[in-house]
Amino acid sequence: MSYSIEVVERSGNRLKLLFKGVPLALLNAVRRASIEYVPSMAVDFVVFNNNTSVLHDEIIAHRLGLIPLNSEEALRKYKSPEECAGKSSESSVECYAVLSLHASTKEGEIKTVYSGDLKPVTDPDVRPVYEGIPIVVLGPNQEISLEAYARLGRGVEHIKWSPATVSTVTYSARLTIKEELCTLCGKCVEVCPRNALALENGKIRTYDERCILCRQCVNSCPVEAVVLGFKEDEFYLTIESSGSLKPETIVREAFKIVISKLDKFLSILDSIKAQSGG
Amino acid sequence: MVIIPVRCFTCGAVIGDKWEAFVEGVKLGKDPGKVLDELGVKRYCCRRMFISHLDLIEELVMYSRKV
Repeated sequence: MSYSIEVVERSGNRLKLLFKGVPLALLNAVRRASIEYVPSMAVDFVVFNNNTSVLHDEIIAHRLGLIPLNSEEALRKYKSPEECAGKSSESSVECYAVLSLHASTKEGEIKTVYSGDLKPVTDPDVRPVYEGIPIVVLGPNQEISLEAYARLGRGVEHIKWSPATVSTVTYSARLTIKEELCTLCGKCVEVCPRNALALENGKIRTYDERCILCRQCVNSCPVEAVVLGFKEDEFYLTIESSGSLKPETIVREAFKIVISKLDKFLSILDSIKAQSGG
Repeated sequence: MVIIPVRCFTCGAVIGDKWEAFVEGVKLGKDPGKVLDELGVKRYCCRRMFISHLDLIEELVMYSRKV
């Protein structure tokens, strides 16, 4: 079976790939694995030494959990979430990275504490991706002092461990104009929000790659000359990362996870076959 | 809300780091929609996080208990 992968868009945290000759079911498995199974680092629990700010400990711990941490190196360095399950936290450097946050204000001072103030203690590679996320605002004479323990986790456990914020598989459009019906009224060209249709040389020309499948052209056509179909074996996979992993890393890891799940499934099938004396 | 959420409630994209840039832009008199475009906030789930947010914590800290 021949297949091809083409990079359609790569900017910032976004990656859009065009797959040809890859089954939809496989891509959907990869899409789901990107959200639920690709591991990344996030703050798991927080030890508060002092917190006199207006936000409760629980709210601050929740906000810390949602801050994306750099996980590219951590994927190799730290043990998987399954191996770390039930491990006591402080002792295990193979499972946990420690970060600390200390801030205080003087009389008459108001200060915003940012994610950039969350400093790595044990591992300089595990640090907040964005420096400018406000964590809390301290009023005059207030103090916050805490240690945060981050570990690898998966999106199935809590969405804070999901490296992909957007992960979608979409069909690839095939726009066709029935020329024997078309009156060249131009209504479809007018309603299209992405200029996927154009009136050129006395014909309606279609640009399939621009189509977002909104069907407005189909609905607007008075003579039903516009047909919106899909290409059988072409699909777009779009990944937007939270910043903890590069989108291409997410795709690579997701494929690895799907493959290992399939291998496991095959080995179970084999063992059943062996048991039944096959 | 008391303080800008770290992530968009719907899609999970990080928005917290863009809040102050958004406020600055709007204070300069720019159109809020244009400021969000410049910040790369594309989806309407993320955009509503900004335009519907009121940063109450700035006022709250003045009424906090004495330590």
